[in-house]
Amino acid sequence: MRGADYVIRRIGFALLTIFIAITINFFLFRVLPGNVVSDLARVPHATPQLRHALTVEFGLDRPKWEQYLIYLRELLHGSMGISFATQQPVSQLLFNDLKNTIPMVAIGTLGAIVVGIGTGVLSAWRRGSASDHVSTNLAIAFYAFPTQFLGLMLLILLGGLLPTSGMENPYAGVFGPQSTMARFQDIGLHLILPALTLLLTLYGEFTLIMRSSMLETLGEDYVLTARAKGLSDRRIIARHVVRNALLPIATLVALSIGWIVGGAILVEYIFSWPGIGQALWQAINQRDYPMLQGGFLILAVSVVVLNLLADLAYFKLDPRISE
Amino acid sequence: MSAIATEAGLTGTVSRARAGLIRQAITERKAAALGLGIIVFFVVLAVAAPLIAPYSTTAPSCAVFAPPSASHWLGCDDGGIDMLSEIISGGRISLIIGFAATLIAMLIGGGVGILSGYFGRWLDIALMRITDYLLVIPDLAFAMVIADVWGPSLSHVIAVIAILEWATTARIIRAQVMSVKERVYIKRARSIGASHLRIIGRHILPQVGPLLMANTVLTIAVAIYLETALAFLGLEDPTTTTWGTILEHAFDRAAVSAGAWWAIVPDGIVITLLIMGCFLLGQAIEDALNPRLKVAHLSSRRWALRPLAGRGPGAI
Amino acid sequence: MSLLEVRDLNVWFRLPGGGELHAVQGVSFDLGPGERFGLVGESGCGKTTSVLAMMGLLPPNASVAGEVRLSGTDILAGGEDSVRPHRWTDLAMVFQGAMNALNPVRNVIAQIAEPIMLHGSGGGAGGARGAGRVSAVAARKRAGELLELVGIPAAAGARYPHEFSGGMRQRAAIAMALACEPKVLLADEPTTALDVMVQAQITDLLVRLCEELGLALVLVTHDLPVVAQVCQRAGVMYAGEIVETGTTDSLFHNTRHPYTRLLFAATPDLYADDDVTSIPGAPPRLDEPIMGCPFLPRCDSVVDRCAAERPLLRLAGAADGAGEVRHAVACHRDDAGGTT
Repeated sequence: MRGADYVIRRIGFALLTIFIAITINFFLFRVLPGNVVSDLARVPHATPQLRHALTVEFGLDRPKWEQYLIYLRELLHGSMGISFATQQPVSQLLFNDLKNTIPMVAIGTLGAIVVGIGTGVLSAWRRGSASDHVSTNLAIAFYAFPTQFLGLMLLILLGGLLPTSGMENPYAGVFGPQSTMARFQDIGLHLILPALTLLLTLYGEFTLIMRSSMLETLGEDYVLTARAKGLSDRRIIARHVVRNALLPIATLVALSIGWIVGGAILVEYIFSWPGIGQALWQAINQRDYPMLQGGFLILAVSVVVLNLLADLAYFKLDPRISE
Repeated sequence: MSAIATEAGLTGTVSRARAGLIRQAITERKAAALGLGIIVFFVVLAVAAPLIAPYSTTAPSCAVFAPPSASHWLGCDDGGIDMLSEIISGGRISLIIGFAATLIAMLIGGGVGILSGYFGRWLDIALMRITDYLLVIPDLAFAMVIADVWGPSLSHVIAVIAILEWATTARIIRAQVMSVKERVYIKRARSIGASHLRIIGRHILPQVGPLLMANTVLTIAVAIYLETALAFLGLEDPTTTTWGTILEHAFDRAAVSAGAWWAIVPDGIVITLLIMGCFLLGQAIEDALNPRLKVAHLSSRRWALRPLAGRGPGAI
Repeated sequence: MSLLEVRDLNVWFRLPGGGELHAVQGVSFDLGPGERFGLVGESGCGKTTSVLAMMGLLPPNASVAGEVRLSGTDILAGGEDSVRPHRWTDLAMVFQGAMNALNPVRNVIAQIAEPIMLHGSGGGAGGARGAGRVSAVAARKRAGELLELVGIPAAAGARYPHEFSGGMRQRAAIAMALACEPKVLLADEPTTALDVMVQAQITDLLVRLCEELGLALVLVTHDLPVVAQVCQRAGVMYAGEIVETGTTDSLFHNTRHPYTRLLFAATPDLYADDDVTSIPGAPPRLDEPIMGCPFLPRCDSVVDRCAAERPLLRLAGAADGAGEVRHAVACHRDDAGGTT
């Protein structure tokens, strides 16, 4: 396989970054001033039993380096502690939240990529025309709109037509069991506004980069060669131009992941979508530090993993990268 | 948002870098002039805020969620405070946060980028590992955690934004410095014994300057964006009025269900305008540094035919 | 009626600030089957634009006048749509410095096979279009044969362009150009980006292919020795027009136009002791109309008429030696019977 050592090296780098993330996570919450986890006085509803359980679990009466090792050991067993607020295992709660976040974010992001690429290609093709100017300026505008503003606007405009809060109608199952189909429909309807907000906030960047990449590619010599070979415009665009112009998009997606996560947090907050962003915010509000620590770690690790995937995808797409 | 700045910086190589370039970009391109105009407008507004704002931002002057009227052009918010005054004064704080955070990020990022690119080797590796990590962690999540752990004061917000943003700039500047470093006149200067400081100051900085400028402007946009996001999530000092907290109040106090669009739309629009202005200016400078010389070989329009004009008898 | 007749080809480019660049100002020449014709001149004289115009490969800000007749039919008459069916099947092109002329993300053999699949491998437009499309497998096989023809092992075709050396890439580009058995090959500075040893290989290859396949060739270059090696006839271009044309032999030994003469003088001769001279001055601006002879500011044999009237390309002198020699010059001195 081409570049097996490149792949291995990238995976190794990702693992190292995850390890650093874990370590820094530990420092943030236990060592830096603020000392939030170890300061048991900060724990709400701290019964003596809870305090004892926490002390044992986190090894709070041991020296810091031992705490670090305990923390690592726990992580390897998939344990991220107990939520202060709900007394449930953090990993279980977060896994559930992640399950809720992923479909919404995936649909929003993929939608943004598709819309962005489509408008970018059209804009580049009709460069200089009125539709190009309109499309480009719209993209800049939506890129500039703060995510929460977009969310609020959608609430105002579509709030009457679509569900605006939560993932499902909480009263749905009251009058008898719900079919899976009905449940999917319900979730789907609830998903529209948050995913749409995410799409609108993200797509502009893709449009602008795709347009710029297309224009760059359209000036390449091999496009002239393709035209000289008597290929139709459509075939040239589809087979030679778009494929090459897409390469920077892969890089862009990788760089944007941090922002996708940020957007997801805001969107989940506005629409009360029970996902990991919402969990993070609630953890802050409730001073539920194990949840906060766990949530942040999961997000950081997700970003590393997604970056790795984007990296490998780019490597696969561009045969020029040899190393 | 910073992704566009990163992408443009990483894929392009700077071919011309003169101080007059920025001036040239502004005078030649409409977008740049517009962007600069918008930024200047808001800066002036912010500076003159205490003189311009018609009403107080702490004492109520009208009814809760009063709609726009002759005396209150943008209506009032949930506390009966004049919206127009809030936006004018809020802009002041938002801009201070944005500019201050960006300044710090630029100083650190530019410094790290230059040192890393110029000296290379272990210093470069060490610094780049740090930026690698910072670039990978999700910005808003990290900002939330830090803002919560340190507390929601204004200076903390500035610090958090600066910590997040310097890494992108460092990367871009480093790439640029590394390519400049290889140029012949630098090697010549080294060979005649010029000190590092002198080379950096006289040769590298001017080359890197315009790119740093473009990046600074784009980072201001990001800083403003982050500030509004943090405020919206309740992680900023709620007693201060910034553009971000205005939106936060609107959401928290159910402006949407009250139908009080004036508590949301004008604020959102000014934030958008400022970010757009920064984006237009920054992009225009970057475009000026990276002129696209290629002509498109394919386009929806076609070349034209003209009638044949004869050349006279005897011509072949 | 020749295979290819170019008549009074003119190309204008609309400039961004308004105004027009008159890049090609009335180029005409004929080409018979199997003939090799060179188009020589400095950078910017319009030779590349001329051959691009012949295939209609111009950007949207261009306007074209004149005729390009292929076996009698003007293929430019209907614009892009009338010229496209002839691309690659009748006229094919090899571009300058094939660094990026091949798509970097697809392998070489796929790019050669592509036009074969679409147009078929028989020559002639409209012949293989639609009906008789070649299967992918057959196209690949044919592409492999073409690579062998230019001296590249077919198996190497599975590689990507960046894995080829400059010379190999250019050969692959030639193989690709031959894919649909065109009648005319346009080669735009095919050897410019290559080192001397490889240049010789490419020029030999071109000559061999033309002879074996009966292919006509238009070779665009600024390199006079290459023209001497490869071409039977040539045209010298200056400021967008042909100022002298004839057989390579008569151009070299019976030079008529002052520019051609100075061009030869500027080419260093390995065996002679002369100093290398350069032509002072620069070519005229093509975005303004030219009064009189375009070469006037740099010419060393000016007469009064030169400033007033632009010389037309006319047949020069009588045939010398056996056979008809069509040697034409655009110069007032020659008209007046002056010596060179």
